[in-house]
Order: sequence, then C-alpha cells, then structure tokens
Amino acid sequence: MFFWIATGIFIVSFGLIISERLDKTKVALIGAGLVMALNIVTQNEAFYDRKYAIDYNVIFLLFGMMVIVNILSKTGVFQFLAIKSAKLVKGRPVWILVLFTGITAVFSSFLNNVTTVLILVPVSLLIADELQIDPFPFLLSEIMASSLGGTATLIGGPPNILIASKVQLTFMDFIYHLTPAVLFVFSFFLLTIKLLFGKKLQVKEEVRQKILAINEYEMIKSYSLLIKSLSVLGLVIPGFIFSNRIHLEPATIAILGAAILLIISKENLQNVLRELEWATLFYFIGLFIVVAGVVKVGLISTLSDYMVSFTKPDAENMFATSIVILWFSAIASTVMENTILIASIIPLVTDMAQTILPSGLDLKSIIQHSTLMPVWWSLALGTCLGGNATPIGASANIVTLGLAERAGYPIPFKKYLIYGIPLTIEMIILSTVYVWLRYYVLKFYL
Amino acid sequence: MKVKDIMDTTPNPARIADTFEHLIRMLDEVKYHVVFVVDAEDKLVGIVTEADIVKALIPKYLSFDAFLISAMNGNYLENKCIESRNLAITEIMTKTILSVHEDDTVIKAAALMVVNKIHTLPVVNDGKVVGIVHLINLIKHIMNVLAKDRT
Repeated sequence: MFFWIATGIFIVSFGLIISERLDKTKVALIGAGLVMALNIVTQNEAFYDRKYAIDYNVIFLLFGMMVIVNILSKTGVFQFLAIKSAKLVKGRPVWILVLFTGITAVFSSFLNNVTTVLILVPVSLLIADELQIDPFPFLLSEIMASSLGGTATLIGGPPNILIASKVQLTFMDFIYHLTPAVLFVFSFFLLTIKLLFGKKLQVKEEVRQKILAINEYEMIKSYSLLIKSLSVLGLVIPGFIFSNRIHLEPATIAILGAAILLIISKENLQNVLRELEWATLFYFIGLFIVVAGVVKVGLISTLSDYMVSFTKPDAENMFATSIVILWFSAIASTVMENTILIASIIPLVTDMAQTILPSGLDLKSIIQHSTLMPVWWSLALGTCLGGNATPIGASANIVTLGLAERAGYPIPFKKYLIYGIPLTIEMIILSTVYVWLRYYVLKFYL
Repeated sequence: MKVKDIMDTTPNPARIADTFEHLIRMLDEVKYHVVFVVDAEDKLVGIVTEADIVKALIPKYLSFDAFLISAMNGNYLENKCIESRNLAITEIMTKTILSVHEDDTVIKAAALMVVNKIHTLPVVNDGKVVGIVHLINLIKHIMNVLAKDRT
C-alpha cells in the first residue's frame, strides 16, 4: 500500500520537475510534506536516520560555497580575469574563444555552472560587441565548458556533491578519477570548437585594438575585499584537498570558510543572504525526503533488480553496467535537469552493489569497492555532460539562452541542437573511451 | 479635481514610421521632452522619453553585469548613435499600458505616476491622445492649491 503511494508521489514529483510545469522547489517541498504526513518516512527518520535522512553535508556545502562565491563575485575578480585573458591574446577572437572556454571550465570547477555562465556571458557579449562578431560560438562553448568544468571536482556542482556525500568520497578521489577524464574530453572539445569556429572569427587589427584599450584593473571594485576573499578560498580549497588528513568533512570546511569571510569582509549580512539560492537548498531538502520514501518502500531495489538482470554485473567486472549507466544518464539528462536523476540513481546503484558484491563487507567497502567505482564515475560523467545536448538539458543552458535573447542575439532551438547533439555525443563517446581504457584496459584504479 | 482641469492639451505626436533622427529633434523641441507615438488611426501605441533614447544606445549586457561599465570603449556611444540612425521607433518606445481619462481624478494620475515611477501619463479618450499630464502639471496644481488655501 505504502509502496504505491510513495511510488505515486515520486512519479508525479519527477514528472512535474522535468516538465517544469511547477517550480521544482515547490514540487520537492509538497512531495516531502506528503511523504512525512503519510508516514511513509516519518519526520524523525527524515531528519535523523542514518539511511533516510536529509543529507545535511550536501546542503551546508552548497550553502557555504554560495556565500563565499557571492562575496568573491562582488570584487569583480572574475571580470578582471576574463578581460585580462582577452588582452593577453591581443584581442584575437579565436584565441579569446579558446581562453574563455578554458576559463569557464576552470571557474566552473569550483563555482556552480549557472554562476559561471552568469559571469562569462555578459563579458563575452561585450567582447563580441566590441569586435563586431557573432557571440554564438562563445555562448555555445561556454555552456558546454561550464558543465565540463563542473564535472571535474567534488565542489563543481550538485551531482558530484551528491555522489561524494553518499559514497563518502573525498575531494582527492575526484581529482584522481574525474579530473583526468574531464581534461581528456575537454582537450578534444576545445580542438573541435577551434575547428568549427576558427574560420569565422577573423577580425581586423584596428578593431582588436578596442579590446587592448580596456583597462582590466578597473574591474576590481575592492582590493581589500579581494585579498580577504582569496585568503579564505586559500584556506577552503586546501581544506577540501586535505579533508581526510585533517578529519573534517567538506560541509564543515565550507561553513567555517563562509563564516570567516562574512566576518572579515564586513559585508552586510542581509545583502549577502538575500542573494543566495535558497530555492536550490530547499529543493534538495525536499528531494532527499521524496527519494528516501521510494528507497524505503523498495521501489529502488525493484528497479535495481531490473538493472542487474539487464546488465548482468558480477563482483569482478561491471563494464556493461558502467557503460549502460553512462549512456542512460546522458540521454536522460538531455531532457531533464540532473539532480533528481542523480538522487534516484545513487540509491539504485548502491542497492545493486549490495546485491552483487560479497555480503560480508560493511557498507563503505561495498560502495567504494574497486569494481563499483567506474560505475560512479560513469554516472557523474553521463549526468553532467548529457545536459549539453539540448537547450533545456541544464539550467546553465536555459540561463545563457535567456540572456542571449534579452541582449538581442536569440539562439533558435534548432540551431542549438545542430551543434549541441553532435558535440555531446562526441563527449560521451570520449567518456566511454576513458572509462574503458582506464578501468578495463589499463586497470588504473589508484 | 479632475485630470482635465490640470492637463496640457498641446499634442506631441510622432508616427510609427518616423526615423530615429527625426524623433530626437522632436524630443528636443516639444514641451516636456516627451513624445507620444500614434499609429495610422491616430491611436496611441507608445511613448518616447529622453530616457528611452539613451536606453536604446546602451547594450543590454551592461544590465546583466554592471561591473562591465568600466570596460566600455570610449567611443562606444558615438559609434552607436551613428549606427542607430535608422532604428525604428517601435524598438525604442515604451509600449503604453498606463494612461488616464480626462474625467479621472488627479489623485489617480498622481498615484499612478508615483507607484510606477514615471513622470508622464497620456490622457486618452477612446484610444486617442487628447492631452498629457506631467509632473510639472502636478507641481503647478499643488502651487495653486496652496495659494488658494492662503486666502
């Protein structure tokens, strides 16, 4: 009985979220409220239980980074870096494209994807305007680079944060396993972009001078705030890297960093808090409870049984499972935003692992079993990169296209698809090659 | 007090087909520096103020990221003016949604202006412009009220 109610709530929530009929935070909250009200998962379990509770590690890591990034962006350092790099290549549009794409990926590895495009898109529009060229190549590349960068590190975006938290992975696990994957895919992506757009981006010398005339130092609004923000970042990032040795979880480090920066920056608290993405935080809170509901009633284990019979993983080799998960999550991600996908697949994979792997082991050894790890990395790659294929596949895409339209450079749905689908297929194929080569040919697990 | 008691009836019409350059000249010459845009049937479709002209020359991406203002090229505005010579009025004007009727009260006109942060309201009768209420008219009205009260 509970099974069907919980499944029903889950399916309706899922449908409403991916169709974007109703704001996803509203859906998650009402779903969570119903799950608890109907005692599918009690409030006590939703708040405190080891297995079913809200993952506060994720919530507070997101919150802490939101605060730090908010204050950091008030310094103008991101705009400074973008313009400086445009000047470094003497205003040559092809190289600006390459550099901006690279910068987007780097920023996105510690900022979330939407924040990154909100920074890069306006400055790209300015550069394109000054050089009198079509901004489309910049916008397209930046959308994709932001998702690539976001896949590279633990803090790059919610999908990785979710995986890290549930599988108890560290910052360095991502550096050892996903950063190389991203570097591999990104190199080919950059090459492709240069081949696609290089010819169209030629500009006369005197026009390029306009870029060199910009004084990038005027972008910095406050040097003291910049020093303070970078110092805190200089504590927080190493904190993540060495979190194992100092025995602190990422959320703790993030909270400390945010608090220190709020105090030393003397920023008005209300001004900072007002600009944080509360909707995202509460969406996750609600989502955790809704998914806990279907985990508890057994829907997830039923689905994982299907997946086991379909991909036939065994304790030695989960190659088929990895590849299926990679492509499945990529395809699913083209039409839906990826957090609900990830939040549902993680317990599915966990359940599958518990069925297949030797039962004597404790949970941590199971979910971090070396045979299973490629499945997690495939999940991260597929979910994060799949969203590049369509204009609606990821929030960063929607935001960028929205800004482009308002600025007078609308990008038609079809035009995006003509570039988006092939480029995404290229990225997923490259990811497949990486997973196969690294974990099944070279067997370089580390 | 009714709007018709304080409004100004000198019309400032411009047609949809008028050019950017013509519009700028008109704006400078007319009272209140506000121009109403009418269609072929003389029905009101929009309003153009000096703010709208300048807004048309400033790129949208600056409203996405105000920090970039310092990065704008020194000749940007001048070059944009020349490029915008043939801009259509419909792309510059604010499409009129707010207006008052000559029998509406002055308080209604004043409140609409304050709440919507605008300085001009067209006075419309059956879709056609019959007058204009500007903040200046309201100030004159206030002066009159105080003058009458003194006596």
